[in-house]
Amino acid sequence: MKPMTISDPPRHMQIFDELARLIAVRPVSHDAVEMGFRCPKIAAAARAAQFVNVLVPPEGFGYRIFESEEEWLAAQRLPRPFLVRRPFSVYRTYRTDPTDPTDPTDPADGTGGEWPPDTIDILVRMVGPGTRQLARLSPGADVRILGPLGSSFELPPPGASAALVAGGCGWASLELLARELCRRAQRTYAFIGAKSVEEMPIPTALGKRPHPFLEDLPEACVTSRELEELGVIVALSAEQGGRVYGGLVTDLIEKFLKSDHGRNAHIYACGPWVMLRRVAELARDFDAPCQVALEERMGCGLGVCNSCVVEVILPDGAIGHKRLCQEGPVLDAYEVNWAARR
Amino acid sequence: MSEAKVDLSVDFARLKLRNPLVAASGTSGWGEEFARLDGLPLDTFGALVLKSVTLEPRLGNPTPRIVETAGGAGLINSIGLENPGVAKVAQEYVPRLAGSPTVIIGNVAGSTVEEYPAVARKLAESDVIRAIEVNISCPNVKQGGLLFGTDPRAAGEVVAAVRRAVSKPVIAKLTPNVTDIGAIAQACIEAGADALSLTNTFRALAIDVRTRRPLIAHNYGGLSGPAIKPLALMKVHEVYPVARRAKVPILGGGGITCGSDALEFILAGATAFFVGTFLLREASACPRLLGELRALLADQGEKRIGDLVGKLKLFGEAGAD
Repeated sequence: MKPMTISDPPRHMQIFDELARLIAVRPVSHDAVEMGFRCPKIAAAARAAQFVNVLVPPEGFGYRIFESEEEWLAAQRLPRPFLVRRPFSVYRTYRTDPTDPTDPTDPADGTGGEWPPDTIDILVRMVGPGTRQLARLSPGADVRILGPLGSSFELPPPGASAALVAGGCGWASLELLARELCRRAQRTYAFIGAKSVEEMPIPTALGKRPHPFLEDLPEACVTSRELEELGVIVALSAEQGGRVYGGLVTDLIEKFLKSDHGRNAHIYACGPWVMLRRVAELARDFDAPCQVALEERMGCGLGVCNSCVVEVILPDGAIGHKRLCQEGPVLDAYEVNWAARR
Repeated sequence: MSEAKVDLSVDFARLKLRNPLVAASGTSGWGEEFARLDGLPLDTFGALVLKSVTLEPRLGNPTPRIVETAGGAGLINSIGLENPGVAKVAQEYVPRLAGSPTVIIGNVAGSTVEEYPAVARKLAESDVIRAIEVNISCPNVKQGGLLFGTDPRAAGEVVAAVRRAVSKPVIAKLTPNVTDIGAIAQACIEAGADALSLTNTFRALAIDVRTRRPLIAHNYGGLSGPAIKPLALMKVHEVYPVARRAKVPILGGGGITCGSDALEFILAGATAFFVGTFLLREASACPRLLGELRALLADQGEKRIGDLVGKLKLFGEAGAD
């Protein structure tokens, strides 16, 4: 098979490199925090599954002229430089104009209105020194953020239902989609899995079993009040059990697809590669449309460096690449070469 | 002195550049992506070098292709020259750059000597391409994978082949993974290079101590970023006497992140400088970088950047120059 190469240069969509003000940091689990940044241009433009590339302070590497003693002191407080930016899905956005009919998030919605308008949330899982340093910033810090980047989910046709499947922090790529779907009154299911209830990427509370077809869940189970208030049918799973479905989130989506409710559902998934591979397999088995939001080590985010490619199977059967910052992060599950990664 | 009076224009290998800032190959895409970035008009750059093009399409290396290293000061990359091949680039990508506000320079790569002139000729057909940069950091498959650029004879052969194929300026891009870069530079100059660009990346390794595997899929890659600046600077300094004697300008770089870094390369002998990894990190800061360079010159009462090329004065050196 003759290998093909990258897709054509990108569509013209404007990207901003905003100096964003950190508004608040909220711990979500032992290794993840939500961070809210005020960045009006990015907040206004971001769509579901898009991401931002965040420069971990301190900004400068070389010789700098400091305008003031305060500026110099501020630079000393953050000792370690990080060369490349870190990518994060745009988790939620809060915009200035709630009357805008295309605005998928209303600042007055069920999130408690903690973050002011023109804000985006990101979910930061502390996996390395860069994310740890970022998560330790205090409100008031200015951070340079590049975005919005990448492709967005294609919505299901009106009247169709959507099944959102998240492995852990993968939910961050799906929440904007959930909100948009609820706004359009499209039936939305959310299946979110984690290793344990404590590691859920979203705030949880005790609620009722979401749906008769999920009789494996206890009658009184842990769920997400916020999502339920939006109108989402929520089922959580944890490998370690607890008052949720005990097992993998892929088992949940399989049960769903087998049930009557799963008929004609469009699947949207984000999470670890092995999870997505299984979701893609199930989608194929049940002939369900399926889009996935992928991740790979990220370079520029602008489409110029070719670091973030994923193998896809082209229409003629040859192997090609798509850049997760341009053609992705959302790809059709049927085109991804799932055999590519271990 | 006022910053506005500082003249950053540069004469480089028969090209007139509005400023000495060049966007390096492999970090600048196909010449139009930066236009999407608010605050980075393409006329920020004096010139922009396109991604390396080969005769046939190349898919490149498996991922992960990059890893941050050196305490956050370096990046190892092993992209693998991914590109759609010269036919597609010449037919589809290059024509889109007609009227580009910056000077576009093509970059050619190959596995055999013969491939280089074939690619160069095709690219140079377009008026959009103002010069050809020759990427000699490629393995010569006919010589057991030895990099062309590590052997003066091989380097000279490739440059000579490109020289015969095009009439536009030919820039030889040197690899620093050599003992005597001066000899490589000399060979390229004798083969007809109009200019030299240096350095490409330094061969490097990063290891995951838990899995005991390299941190990039291709095992080895090239190191770039602030970590290499002192090394690249030394290479420019080594090449300058050779280049100067032949009146061949240097496009120098490696780890530049601010105006002061750029000035270091100019003082070491570069007529123009490039940024690469910096673009991955903060392309939008290029206007700031130029502003810093202007401010430095103004501060020192210097009116023209061209006056400072090679003005490093070593201790123990007799006299100026």
